[in-house]
Amino acid sequence: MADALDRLTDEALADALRDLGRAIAVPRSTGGPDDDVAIRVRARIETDPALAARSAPRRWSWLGASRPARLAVGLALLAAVLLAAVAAASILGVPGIRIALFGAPATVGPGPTASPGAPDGPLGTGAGLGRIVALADAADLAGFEPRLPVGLPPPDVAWLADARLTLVWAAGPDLPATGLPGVGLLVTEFRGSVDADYYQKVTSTGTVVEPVRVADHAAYWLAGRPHFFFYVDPDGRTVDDTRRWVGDTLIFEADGITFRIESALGRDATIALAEGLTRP
Amino acid sequence: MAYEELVRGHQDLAVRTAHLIAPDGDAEDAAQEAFVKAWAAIPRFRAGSPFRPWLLRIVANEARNRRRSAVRRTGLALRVAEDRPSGDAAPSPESAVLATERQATLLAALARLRAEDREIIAARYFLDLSEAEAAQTLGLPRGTVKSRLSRALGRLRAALTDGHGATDG
Repeated sequence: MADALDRLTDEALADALRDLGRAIAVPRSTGGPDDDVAIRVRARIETDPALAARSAPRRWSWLGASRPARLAVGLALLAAVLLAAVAAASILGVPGIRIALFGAPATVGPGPTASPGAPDGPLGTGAGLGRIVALADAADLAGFEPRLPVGLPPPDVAWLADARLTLVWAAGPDLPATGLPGVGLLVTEFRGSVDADYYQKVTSTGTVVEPVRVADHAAYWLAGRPHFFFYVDPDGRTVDDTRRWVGDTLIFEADGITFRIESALGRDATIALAEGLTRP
Repeated sequence: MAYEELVRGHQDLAVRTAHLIAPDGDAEDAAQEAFVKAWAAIPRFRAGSPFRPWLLRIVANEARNRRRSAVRRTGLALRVAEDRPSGDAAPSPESAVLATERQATLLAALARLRAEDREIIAARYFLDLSEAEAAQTLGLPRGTVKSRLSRALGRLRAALTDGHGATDG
């Protein structure tokens, strides 16, 4: 056969190599379902102290720990929690946040966006939104008067993480289900500004980042296949912001407040909703 | 955790890449280490650039480091799967034997090449990367991929000829 191989045309040799490539055996472990590179990588990241601090949901879960639990772990962890809170605030509220945005790999299904089942707990549970607050207290706690969409009832749940307020409406006839169980609309409001320059640079496979306008404000419409967001905070740490799986997102800034609206309404309806945000 | 899903979507390619670059090493372990390093390196990821070749670069570097630190062996630990998925039509026993022989001959010739020649051939033909992806994965200027591949194929042909003479002579 070698005499045939060494006389192949370039094209035929390339084909023979591609053929060989498909036939090459790649040794893989044959362990159980836990024996998976992705699971092992996650375990490594979560157990390595230097890496674990980079996961936002984990940080938020610490913030949400019960008071007895915090007391139990003592002053050292309390100090860590406080430091994490400061870090979280700087991640979410200041200009200059960098986001690395990756399209979902082809082998990943729609994921959470395709499982809008019944919520397990209050609407928005598990999305790293912080703690539940009464809407009446939201202005005092967040430090600004939140705006609400006209034509919609008050939100079903209000969540607060540091000074970031997230208002959640249940899915229904007017609000199609998002990727978060039972949720039809999330409006997140926080002080800070959108890094416009940065958003214009963001592109990714399968995700549309479209500059749009909300009234006279520059805005960005992020839509498309489920996308992964990893914030890079000002300290250069990676934050895995899984809650961005919720749905298509409109983000803009008005009067010093940044608004992030996540829904399954589509671009134009979401922009219309954004333009109808008013102080109650 | 979104990163876990991202890893799951790329792990087969990463393990395959690590194995092709360092066949004697533990490819899954190299890929796992590369994913952890990639997580730590996300702050340096340039927004808007493609993820796959960026990841593969980290995988390739990890595999190369392991190759360098491993005891050098003669030959190449790449081998053809015994239960390779069949093509459109089941080959006759004769043609299957011929195909296996042909692949063994190619592998033997590849084993005689330098690592950088094997890497460029693997990137383009075994991993089916574009020239741009191959360049980024292997850390080469994009303009040199074509010429390097051409030279590598030339040496592969020479190895096939030599191998033929040595085998039959």
